[in-house]
Amino acid sequence: MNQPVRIVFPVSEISLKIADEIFDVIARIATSDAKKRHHILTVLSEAFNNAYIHGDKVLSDGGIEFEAHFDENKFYASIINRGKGFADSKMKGYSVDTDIAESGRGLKIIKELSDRVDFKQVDGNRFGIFLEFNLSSESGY
Amino acid sequence: MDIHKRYEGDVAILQLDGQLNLTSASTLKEASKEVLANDTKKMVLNLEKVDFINSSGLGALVSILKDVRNARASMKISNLAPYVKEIFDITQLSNIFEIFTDENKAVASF
Repeated sequence: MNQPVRIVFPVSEISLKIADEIFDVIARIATSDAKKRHHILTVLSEAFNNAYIHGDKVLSDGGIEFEAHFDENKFYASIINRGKGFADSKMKGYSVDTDIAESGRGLKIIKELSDRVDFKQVDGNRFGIFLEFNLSSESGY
Repeated sequence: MDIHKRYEGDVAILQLDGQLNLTSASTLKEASKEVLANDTKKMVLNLEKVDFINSSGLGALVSILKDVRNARASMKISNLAPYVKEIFDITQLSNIFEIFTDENKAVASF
């Protein structure tokens, strides 16, 4: 998968299930290390969930875009959608020490389980999460 | 997600099987509401067969905990797989929920 893989998902609930199935396959291709594989799957799922929940469903005529590619021992992925995304979400003020809020933990999970994450505005009105995973570090449970 | 419900004495045990995410969260919340509606005051969620959890799944568990507290009931969680425990630890929900390594210990703790 040296060439980028690009998938555009319609903004609908069934896409959540389909995306998770695809992310699981991609994570299995990426690494045989169970822990790293789970990290990749969890982060991609979390980022896609966020795009679905916080994205603008009216304006998301272009769908939710997922891109991924490998480069040497690294795996790169991005998820782009129209909408506010993580940066403007309630997560900014989330306190894991005291809160028992029902939402707001996705960003923490993404930051902890990926090796690098960037949030960028794309083309003015789209918002993207850009992820990097180092595949050379074997971790294991 | 499949949810298998059974009772050990006055303790309701919900055994969860599958992925705990946005699409399954409402199923779990409904199942727990049914338990509380039956005036059950003790509940164990056995997560042994949960093979994936994300923030939406965690949100469902927190929602259930709130319902349990409002009902003046008590809830324990048991049998976290390593990858599920890792997510609990990252989000520090390990400090909020009462978590046990196995179901018997969770039941005995009431």
